[in-house]
Amino acid sequence: MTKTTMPRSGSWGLKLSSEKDNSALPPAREVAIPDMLTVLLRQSAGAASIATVAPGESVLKGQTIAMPAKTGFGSYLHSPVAGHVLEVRNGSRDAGGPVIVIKNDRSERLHPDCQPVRNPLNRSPRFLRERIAAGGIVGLGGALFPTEVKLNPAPGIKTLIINGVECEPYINCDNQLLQEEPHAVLSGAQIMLQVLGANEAIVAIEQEMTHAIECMLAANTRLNDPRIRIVVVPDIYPGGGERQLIETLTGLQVPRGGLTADLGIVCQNAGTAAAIDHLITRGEPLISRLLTVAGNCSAAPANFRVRIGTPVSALVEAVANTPPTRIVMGGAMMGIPVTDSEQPVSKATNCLLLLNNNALTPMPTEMPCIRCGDCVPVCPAGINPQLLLESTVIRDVKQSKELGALDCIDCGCCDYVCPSGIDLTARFKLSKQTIWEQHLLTLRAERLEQRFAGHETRRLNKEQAERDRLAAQTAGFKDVSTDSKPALDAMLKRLKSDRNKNSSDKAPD
Amino acid sequence: MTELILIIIGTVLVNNLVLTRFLGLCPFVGASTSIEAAFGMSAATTFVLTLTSALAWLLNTWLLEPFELGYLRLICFILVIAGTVQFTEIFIRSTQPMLHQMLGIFLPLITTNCAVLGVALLITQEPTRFIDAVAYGLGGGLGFGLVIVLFAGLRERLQAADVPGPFRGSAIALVTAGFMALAFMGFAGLTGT
Amino acid sequence: MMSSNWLLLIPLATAIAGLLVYARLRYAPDEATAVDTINALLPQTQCAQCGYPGCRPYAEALVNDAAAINLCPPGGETTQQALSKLLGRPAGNLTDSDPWAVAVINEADCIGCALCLPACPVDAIIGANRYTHTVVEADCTGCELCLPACPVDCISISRSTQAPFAITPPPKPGPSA
Repeated sequence: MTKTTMPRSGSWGLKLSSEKDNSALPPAREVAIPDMLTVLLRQSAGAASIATVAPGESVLKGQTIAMPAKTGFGSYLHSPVAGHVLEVRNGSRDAGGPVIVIKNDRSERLHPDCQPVRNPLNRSPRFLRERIAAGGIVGLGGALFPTEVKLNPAPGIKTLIINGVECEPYINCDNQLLQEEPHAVLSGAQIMLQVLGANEAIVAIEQEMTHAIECMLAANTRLNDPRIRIVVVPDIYPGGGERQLIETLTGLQVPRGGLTADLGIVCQNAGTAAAIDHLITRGEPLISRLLTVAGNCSAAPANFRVRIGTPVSALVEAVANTPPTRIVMGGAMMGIPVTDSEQPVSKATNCLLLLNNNALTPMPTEMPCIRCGDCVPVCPAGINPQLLLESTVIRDVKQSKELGALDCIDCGCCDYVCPSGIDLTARFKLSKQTIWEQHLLTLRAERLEQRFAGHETRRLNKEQAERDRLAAQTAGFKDVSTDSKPALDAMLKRLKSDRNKNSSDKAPD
Repeated sequence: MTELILIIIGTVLVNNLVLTRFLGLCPFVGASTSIEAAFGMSAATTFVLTLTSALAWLLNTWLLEPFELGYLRLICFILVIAGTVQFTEIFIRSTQPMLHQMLGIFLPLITTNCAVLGVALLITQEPTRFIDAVAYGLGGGLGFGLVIVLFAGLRERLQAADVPGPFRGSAIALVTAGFMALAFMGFAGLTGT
Repeated sequence: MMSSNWLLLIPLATAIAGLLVYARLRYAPDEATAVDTINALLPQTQCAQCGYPGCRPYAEALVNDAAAINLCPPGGETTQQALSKLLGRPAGNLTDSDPWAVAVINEADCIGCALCLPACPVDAIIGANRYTHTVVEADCTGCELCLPACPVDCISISRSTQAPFAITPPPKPGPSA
């Protein structure tokens, strides 16, 4: 089978130095599984999952320990090791929710529920989706969107895209996967085609991942499924973004506020495809993942297969040759600094950068925007960062929405090119949060206006009822208000004369 | 027909009411804080200008000139302008309440807009046909609308800009208007007048 | 003596006045839409911090140009920006208050007197006489109108658990002072 090479679809993006090895990689290394693992309950885009085990309970490897919350897009979570639950507690701010701490008893006993599915390609889509959900499979490209939801779109999906475009510098784990387990990726693609009822799958790989392309081509030829083909895309960052990849492959743009399913396309990460294969054909739920450890404090960049819940410190210990002063979870462009070294690896962790001051350049002092416009052509989402910055700083939520703040994918291209050194991505993240917060407040305001209206109606009715009651009580009374003075005078005179009469009647003691 | 087009282009670009003749500066600066307000103001002013020019011509040609009441021109025109503006305000207040809020006091102030009275007096000074008078009014309104919308766009950008302290507010707005006037000087001689 | 001046001016003025009276009767002013549009921008906290007994009265005052646009702390800078754009009036000084502040009743101290229930403009407190009261967090806006109503001072203000992370406003690009 041959591959197709696509040209660039626009002028967006940056050509960055990849900082990774694209030749044949050695097999992924294992890291010693630590004594204690911390599973974050918030490992997907939606609400935190709910623990289904209690402290003290013993668990087997692959046992379900949490289920998705009813609201929002959550996922099932499984124990990465056999052992027992030490505690279920609130996590740190970075954890974003509660955590389950599990003590490893090193027995590696597997839970009996972890069974493969026989004849997966003859099963109904619904059955496969339920298995995928129960296996805790979420999007491993970084967004952690529950896969069974993505595989259940409106009918009319024609194309499945397997995203092997690992564009961010340093991150190399999908490269490892495509070289080591190409058959797993293709098998996962076949299962997903069965679920979606689609008849075309494209495996997209970056041009410079030369050995990975060869491995995938060979595997695809062996598999001989005419529905699946390999397509090579130019290595521009952030070409691996879902919408950017679709634009490169098909020339179509996903409409603002729309989904890829609107174009009849579903896009899944290559790691997700392999995870689906492991689950369906081997019965393994998602309890481990490949990640890259790189940076100048590690001996050489290498890929590791790591259990979910392994603390970052365990990896640093295993790999660092000098102590890092800065640890980044993620790649060079979108990575987030790790503040707590006990922070565990989650399903989203694709890379750890161990850095010290020799690798870091100091942050430039921010200077005012000079309207050079360098940021405009590089934005892959078609936003004008210069105008969006203006409306963000003056807190104009309506204008920010119109300028496309919600389309921003946080890729960091705009602040990479800004000559004034403005941290645009951080401001756009704040802008998106503000828009979301305003949306929540507007919903609340609409609800409260109705409650207030109800409150006021009841209050006015109560006051009116009180007035009516008083009127009814005093209805028979003579209205003394018009001739009050003479009537009052007469009454007072009568009282006085009564009192005088009584006092005079009283016999002195 | 070409005469009419020349009159309109002349009034919009060459002899622009605001930037060349410097009439109507008050609503130009006051109602240009947002593009929506500018569109609303220009629509109202264009309507008033066109209608007033037509009525002024009719009044002048049929009542004032034949009966030699030329000295009453000013009072009559102001009456007509005030009536037209009040009618416009009543209409906008009823159909577009938010626009009425946005324009605020500047809507009734169209009465005192020297551009309106200026165009009315201009067409009565030279011998013109009725259709020419309407063209002057329409062109004046379109020209006013063009520059106020452009100015509003610039002012919206200025709101978020890093303006030095002494220039903030009306100072930078007037500097911008001055640059626009300089730019419009480039149209001089376009229509051969 | 009627000079020709008045022969022209009086009929002209009368005609114009007649036309205006007709127009006013035919096209009645529409205040309700304006009030509704402005009210939709306000946070509906009904806290009376603006000096008006609720959000709709404040909206009405804004329509009549009787109130400034910087009187609503729960709405904050974002609401003021939106109002400024809509009404064409310049923004003023405004200190934001946290929109996610909520009242919390210390149930151990609550004596069940039910005095706080009518004080809440959106009925966010549930309870009855001689039963412990509690605040429904999703409906509470932190307007603090219930705090003075409580005779044992058992109500305090804290941050809603539904609140997204606190957002600091993005600073203008430039060297920090």
